[in-house]
Amino acid sequence: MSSSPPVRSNWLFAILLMAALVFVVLGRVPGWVGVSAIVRAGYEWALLLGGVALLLGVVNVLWLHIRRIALGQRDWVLSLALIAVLIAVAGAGLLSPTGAASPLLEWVFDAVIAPGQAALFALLIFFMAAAAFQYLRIGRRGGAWMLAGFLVILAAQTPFIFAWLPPGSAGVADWLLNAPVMAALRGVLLGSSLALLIVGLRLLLGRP
Amino acid sequence: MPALLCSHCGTPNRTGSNFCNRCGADLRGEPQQQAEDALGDAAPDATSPDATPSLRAEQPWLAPGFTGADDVPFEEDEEDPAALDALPPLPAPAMRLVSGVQGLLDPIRVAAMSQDNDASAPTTGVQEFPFGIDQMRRVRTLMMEEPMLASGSVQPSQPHRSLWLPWVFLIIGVGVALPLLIGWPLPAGKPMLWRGVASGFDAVERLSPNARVQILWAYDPATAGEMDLLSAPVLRHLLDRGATLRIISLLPNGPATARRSLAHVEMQRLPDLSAIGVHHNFEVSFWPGGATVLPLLAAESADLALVFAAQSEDVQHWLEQVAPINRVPVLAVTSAGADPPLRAYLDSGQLVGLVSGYDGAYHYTELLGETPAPDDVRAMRAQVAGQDYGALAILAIVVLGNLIALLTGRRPDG
Repeated sequence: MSSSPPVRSNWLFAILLMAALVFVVLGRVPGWVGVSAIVRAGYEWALLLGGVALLLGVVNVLWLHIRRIALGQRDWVLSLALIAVLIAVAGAGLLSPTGAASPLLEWVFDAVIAPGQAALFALLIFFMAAAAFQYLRIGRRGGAWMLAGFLVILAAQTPFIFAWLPPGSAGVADWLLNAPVMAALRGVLLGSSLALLIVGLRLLLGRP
Repeated sequence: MPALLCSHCGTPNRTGSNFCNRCGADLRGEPQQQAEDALGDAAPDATSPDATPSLRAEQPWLAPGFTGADDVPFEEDEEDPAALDALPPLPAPAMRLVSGVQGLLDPIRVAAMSQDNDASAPTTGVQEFPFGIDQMRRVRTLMMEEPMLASGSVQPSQPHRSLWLPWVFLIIGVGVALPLLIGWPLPAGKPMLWRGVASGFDAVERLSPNARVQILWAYDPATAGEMDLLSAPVLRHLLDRGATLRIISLLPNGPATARRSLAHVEMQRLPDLSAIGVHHNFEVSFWPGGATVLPLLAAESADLALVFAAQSEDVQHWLEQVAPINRVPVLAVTSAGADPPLRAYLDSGQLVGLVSGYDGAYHYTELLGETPAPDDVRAMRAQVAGQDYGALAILAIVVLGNLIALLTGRRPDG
């Protein structure tokens, strides 16, 4: 496999992508009114495409779980529950004159979705604690620097610790965020963007 | 049953198929075969192992002595070098339906279940295929099933290492739950006033009545605990100025969250006599399609743009996709975690203001010059106390980790 055959580029995709790129770039140039209208139409298509993709996702989920039930696969009961809830929620929204603001949907949001999402997000603190325990070590390579930066930022952002800090210490945190942290972050962002651009071009040219 | 065997992934396809049902490879020009017979004919071809050395060179994990990146060697029975050597070379990749998008990885040969091969099975003479039908079914079943937790210990030589995590979780759990159980005996303290809060307040204060304000609502219930405290004073300020709000959310649960926040703010404003009879018009919409569709908002006129975001990327998307086109000043209202990456945008002038975290909510409310509602005071005190105790717990965990490393001379990795 050292001499894997070159991958052909799909010229239809390449032309469409290049055309979209040119139109989007020209749409940013003032004075190109006609191009702006085309670009706007493209964005509206993207909006429609997003909606259709959501519907396709729903159909895909339905199909997948109907198959699981039909084949009697493991945990098919959960698939059945998922389909029942999906039908109930979608039906409530479609049949109610208030649409997405129907009482059942409001109840589902308040009683299930909101606390569920909040609870799952709150679990992050445990992962953060485990990561802090494991990586903020003086003995690790670079660990002392990470630990120092962590302590400075934590102190500046925690109200009761900040109240005990000497005046001017907040400037240290501000400088840290604005100079080294920002420089590193921008470097990573720029580097990954350039890498993405090059990978995309290579893919378009059939040289992945 | 006559079938077409995909030379790329080995999946049998219905006769007359143009493309593989599994990997999409082009089947036009493939010879028709007896798939069942061919698949059952999986005897290793010991006469054609030429491709094996180059295969190993590019896929070192197939070598018998290879140890993984985590330094955990494969079990003896996981790899069968003899069977691997005996496998015939892989068929050349076929032309693909979409070049470069799928099938970038060539198929990896499975040698762990070589005992399933029946060397004595008769061959069809149509095409040699390295896998048995049972092997294919087992691999497909394994790939489609949910992963299961291993029941045994992965590293039996160091069973004590897993004991640290429960203690870490206990400390952080107690730290966060303590203020809920016993109140908040520690003084909350006055938070730091970061740059950007006052300028953001001024940007809203300068709005004329009926000014149009675009709002990107980029948070949902997951982060509403922090973000609602921030959005409430800013929304109150906007409604006080009589602004017309155009709210867009790219999150499915964003509009419902926005409606609740607005309803909460309006309920708080009811006792305000000056607010009676004032009808606030606002529109909340969900736009699918992600950040791609944001430029559509650039065509709408507005006097101010606000981004309520739990993550910095949402503000960055607005600054990249919308602000350069419509040149409307942008005020970011974000979580404390999103604040650091956005400071540079404030310094460059791309943001007219940056209000973040409990600190920002506290000082924005102070700038409003109003007495916060009791509910808001209670919520903010609980949040600040929780943050304080959580920070203490994290500090305790960090100190504990370093002490253990110092005293024992080893790294307890949790």
